[in-house]
Amino acid sequence: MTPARTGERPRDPHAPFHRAGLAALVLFPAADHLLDLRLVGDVVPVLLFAILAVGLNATVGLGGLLQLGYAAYFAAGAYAAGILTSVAYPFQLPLEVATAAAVGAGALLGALSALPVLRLKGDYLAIVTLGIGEIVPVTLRNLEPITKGEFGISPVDLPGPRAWEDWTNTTHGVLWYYLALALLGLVVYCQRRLERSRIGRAWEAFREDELAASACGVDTAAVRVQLLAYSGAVAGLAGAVSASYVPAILPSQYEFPISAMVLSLVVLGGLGNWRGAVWGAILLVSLDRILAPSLTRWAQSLVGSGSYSFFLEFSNYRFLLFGLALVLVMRWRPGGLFPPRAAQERVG
Amino acid sequence: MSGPEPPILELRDLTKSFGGLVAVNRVSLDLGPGAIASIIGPNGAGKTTLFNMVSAVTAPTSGTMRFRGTDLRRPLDARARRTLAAGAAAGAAASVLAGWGLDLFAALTTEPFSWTGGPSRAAAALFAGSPATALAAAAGAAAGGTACLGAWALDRWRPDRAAELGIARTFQNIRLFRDMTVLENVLVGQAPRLLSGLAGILLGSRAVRAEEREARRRGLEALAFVGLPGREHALAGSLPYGDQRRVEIARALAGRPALLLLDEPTAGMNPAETGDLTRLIREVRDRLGVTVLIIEHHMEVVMGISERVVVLDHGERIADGTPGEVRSDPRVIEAYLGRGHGQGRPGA
Repeated sequence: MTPARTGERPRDPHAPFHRAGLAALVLFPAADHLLDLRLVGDVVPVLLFAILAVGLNATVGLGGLLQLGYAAYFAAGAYAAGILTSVAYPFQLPLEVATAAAVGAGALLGALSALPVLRLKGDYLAIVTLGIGEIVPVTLRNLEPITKGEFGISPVDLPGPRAWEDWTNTTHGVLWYYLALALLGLVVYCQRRLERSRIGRAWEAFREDELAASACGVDTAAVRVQLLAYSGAVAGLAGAVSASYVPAILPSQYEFPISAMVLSLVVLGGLGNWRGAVWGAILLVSLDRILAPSLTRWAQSLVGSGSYSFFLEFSNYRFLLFGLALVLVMRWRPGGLFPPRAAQERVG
Repeated sequence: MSGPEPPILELRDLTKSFGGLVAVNRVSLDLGPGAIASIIGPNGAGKTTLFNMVSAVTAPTSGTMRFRGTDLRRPLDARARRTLAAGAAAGAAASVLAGWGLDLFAALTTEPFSWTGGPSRAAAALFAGSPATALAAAAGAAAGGTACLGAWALDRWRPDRAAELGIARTFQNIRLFRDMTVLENVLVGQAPRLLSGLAGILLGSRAVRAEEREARRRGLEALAFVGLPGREHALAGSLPYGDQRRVEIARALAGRPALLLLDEPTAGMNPAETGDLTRLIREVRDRLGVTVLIIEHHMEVVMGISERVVVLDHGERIADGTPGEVRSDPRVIEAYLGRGHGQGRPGA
């Protein structure tokens, strides 16, 4: 593609895909109901992962900071929500209040974890974030008086008035689905506003050339705090909602594989493009949460009832498939499925 | 010197040494407002190091800089820095010890004191970790950390502060935000002037939109000024070399600086481009009233454009005057051509 010669803004060539994807997301529960797929509830985690991916995309894609411990912020949100709502603690606030606190907890952990890295970038920063991603689950395991250690927190409160039995009724996953979709919409809205503001531009300038950005008047230490706090806040939101959906919290849900998975969603979808992050989450997480279990059921039924084959349990191939998907995408579309405008012009 | 007008930039005994190498040695310089001045000198003379100090990219080893009457220096002097850091560390240590002291006191007073049992009880108290210890240690660490961070933040040598004060610069090897559009580049250049807050950005408030419109207008104006109208949506990295230089100058001018530092603006340009750029630099001063300081190797450009030429050699100012004066200065000829140049140019 040749760069635009006129003053016209170049159009996104993938816009029809995105519109179709949005329509599919909005209409999915209806299709699910008509076709009697009963998958709406399974798609909720997919949407929550999409929220995580959009949040991480800000740090890694826009800001260029390699964040390897993203699950820590997810955990911060989940535990904040759990501690503030669960009957095991004295607070028992409604989930809506606790979710706000969870967003704050994620942002606070993000801002705090920026402090040791105010001058770092690249590999050094990645190591520190990896360390934070390890410290947080270990702390959660061992700080038993506060986190209940390995037992975790259960149940976490549900959204809305307690009388809404629907939230617990799995056949009514539609409510959860639209809640998750609305929150994804909210996060995307914030993302778009930020991208087109002085803050988002400063993030990108920082990624492109830190020295030049600071000579232009961008405070690069503040950018690091903003990036980690913002993506931490988004992860905190996802953590609170997912803890309430499950509705339990275990320290093992917040370890490195989650960080690696969200990162691979972002890279696969297209680093720096939130639309790509959403697509990456929808494709890969659906594969993992919906397609793999269905395949497993089908394959096991072929083997015959009563017998169980370890090798036909497709969820075991999860990371093999993620790895394969990443290798294939990097080979054929190095910018990801939906690269941001800049990469489109360079690669394609 | 034109009358009593105070200089815009005053350097006094500015020195920078890297280990044993003195890159800039006690350079003093007064630059009047509205001047076009050049700094020349052989490779390694310390020209770029001088620029880096004026734009706060590197901290001087000693000496002072004043820009429009404001001191460009660390807000704290070395002694205040050390005192603050030591005080913070001591405070943190003291509160940890105080916590331990409480534990010790409790351990030693609960039972009648005995020389045999006392020390072991004291040791046990030190490692038992009562809430008092934990609280005091946490408070100490937080206070100490905050103070250290505060000292660092005050002490930080920040190019963005220089940009805020009105010092803009370009770089020897062009440093554009290559994957951002030309317009975005000049918008980042206005970073110190854009003040919209997070809430306003997320809500898309009227004030934020107005500020953004105004920034765009100023950005387009700067692009038109450097002769690049209609290219604002092209990716900065996709422009030809000469245009990239212009974008970099537009980005520097977009923040409405009072002093523009140009580091080898005509490097790698053909004679036609060089001529255009020379005219542009003159317009920057004539039409925008910006004081311009240039590092340049093209003698034709230097002698044609500058009202004043400063010559550096081995970090020292060896000559300073009008182009005519400098050209005939024997020390300058010696620095450039070596001793005994009458017998032919060595190495040429």
